[in-house]
Amino acid sequence: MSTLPHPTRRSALLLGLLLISSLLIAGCGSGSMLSAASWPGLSTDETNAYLAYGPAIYAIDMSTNRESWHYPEEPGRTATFFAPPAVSEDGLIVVGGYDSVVYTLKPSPNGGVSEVWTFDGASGNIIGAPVVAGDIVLVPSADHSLYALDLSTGDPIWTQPFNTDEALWSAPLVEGDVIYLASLDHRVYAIDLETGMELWSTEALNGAITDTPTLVGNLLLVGTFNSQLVAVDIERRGEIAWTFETDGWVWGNPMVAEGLAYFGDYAGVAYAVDVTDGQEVWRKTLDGPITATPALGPGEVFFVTEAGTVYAFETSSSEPLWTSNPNLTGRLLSDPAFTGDTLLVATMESECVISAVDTGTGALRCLFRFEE
Amino acid sequence: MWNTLILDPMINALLWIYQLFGAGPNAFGFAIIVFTALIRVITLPLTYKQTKSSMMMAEIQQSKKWKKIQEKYKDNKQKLQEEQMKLYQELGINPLGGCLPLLIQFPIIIGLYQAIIRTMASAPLQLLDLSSHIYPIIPSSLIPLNNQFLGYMNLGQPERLPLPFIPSNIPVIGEGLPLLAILVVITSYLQTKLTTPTTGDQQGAAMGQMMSLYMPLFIGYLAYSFASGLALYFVASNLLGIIQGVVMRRMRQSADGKQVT
Repeated sequence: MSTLPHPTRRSALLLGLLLISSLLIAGCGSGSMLSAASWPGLSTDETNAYLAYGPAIYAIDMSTNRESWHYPEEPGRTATFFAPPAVSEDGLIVVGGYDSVVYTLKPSPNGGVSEVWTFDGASGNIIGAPVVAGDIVLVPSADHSLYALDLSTGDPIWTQPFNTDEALWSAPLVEGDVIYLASLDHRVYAIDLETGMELWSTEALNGAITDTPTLVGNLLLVGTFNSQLVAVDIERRGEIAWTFETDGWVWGNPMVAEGLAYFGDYAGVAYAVDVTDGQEVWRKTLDGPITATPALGPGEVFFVTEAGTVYAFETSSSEPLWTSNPNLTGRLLSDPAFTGDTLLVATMESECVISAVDTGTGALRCLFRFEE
Repeated sequence: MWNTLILDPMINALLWIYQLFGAGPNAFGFAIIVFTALIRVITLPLTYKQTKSSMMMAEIQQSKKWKKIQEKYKDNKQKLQEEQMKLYQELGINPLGGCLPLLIQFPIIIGLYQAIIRTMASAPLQLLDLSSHIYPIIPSSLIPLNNQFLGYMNLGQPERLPLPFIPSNIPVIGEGLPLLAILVVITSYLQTKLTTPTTGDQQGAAMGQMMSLYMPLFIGYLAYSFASGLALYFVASNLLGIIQGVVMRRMRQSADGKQVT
């Protein structure tokens, strides 16, 4: 028998270390991140809130605060959902999955939901929200393409999808017959809705764009990872009108009221910027990074921070009217949304997924949590 | 602490090299290869010490002197250990000389894995996480990274080489040949063979054989299942390990001193 600490023991140590490192690699790999690739996608109509979060889409009846339905019936790991669902005028729900498939659902009066059609022609995750424009559904995909589908059948409308150089993570904006599309390739594109042909594009803005442009007058406002808010003149085929420097990356898009653009950055600063010339009107450092687009109420603007706080400002002042009390325990990364007079916020890494915020006081009330 | 000392410097070094390669198609693949080589060079003294120690241990195992000592003290374990330590001192070997460098390298290897995976962020939460690791001197225009490599590979996805002549309904290779995963298995096998010295005892030989068979398959499975950027790292690291192993083996064979007889 040998008692030397010879290669046998070193081999065992090596084997152990390799196994541990393999587990750590597996922990970092894309597979395990499937369930937490993004934050909850929240959208609303007059009576319901729709939540895309992980293995299912949930519809919550706002009059009862109860779940009306969820899809798929047995949530699994085959498809995960994070893009906010789109709702058509006739009540169809269009959702994009991380499995690259577009699902169109029709809620039934008895509380269930049925699948109308699916589209599996995309090859990348669907991260940005689909948009319904009349009888066309526009679907941005991480495969760099924007797809235009027939709302009633799911068949492609254009001869080929519109392609950019990088992934599309944001919903397109439709104004009349023109689509405005922001891409992670640092550009904004104007596209003909009918044909899918490019009308013009901006120069590279030196930073990825992750949210939908905001149109105000002839200006498209986009936040970029180059720590800028950029105003693009659509009447001059995408020329830059002005830029505004921020402290951090801008993830969300601005909301505009009374000539001021309100937005936040990942350094945790909320801004109000004059739309006409890009001059700062006020700024306020909040308690955490801001990824979400703020929500606008009458005379008020509401910001949410990753730290779990909701802030209300008068549109004219940098002093908060109130901050939410108590703070939410999870991370607030999703865009807040109004349904009627109720402001909803969706939280990740929290027991309560959707909370209602009292816009007068900042008091929070849990509306929806997953069943055990 | 982990982020400040290991992960953040690695992520930013990787991004800096990516920028040097022009931040376009293929740049991230080359950045992974160069970064892997750099880490190999930085950890070379440790690897050298570890491999040298392994080889010397293996030589002792097969030496007549040790076999005589084993025979002489086969009924006295304590005395055998004392003699063993004397033999080490005589030959200037630190018994932990092989294990310690391995333990020191471990966080570096894990950091390298994590840096590569995090830099390939392809979903919002991953990118959000990456943004908190990037130094201000790295231009944000580099984001998102161009993951294309060699014209057909997305380094953020598992690699499959398209083979138009193979029907798509054939399991595993129907969706394309996992070329990198196959290379990972082959190079892992060769590297393990080269860096695991043959030992005199049966237990060591069995363990070595198991290592050289199962670990390449296991690492190959990881390369098959996860982002191909990781598989590229495995291949680059293994190839450099093989070169290193061959050179060290030759150096050892030509060394004329401290050979145990």
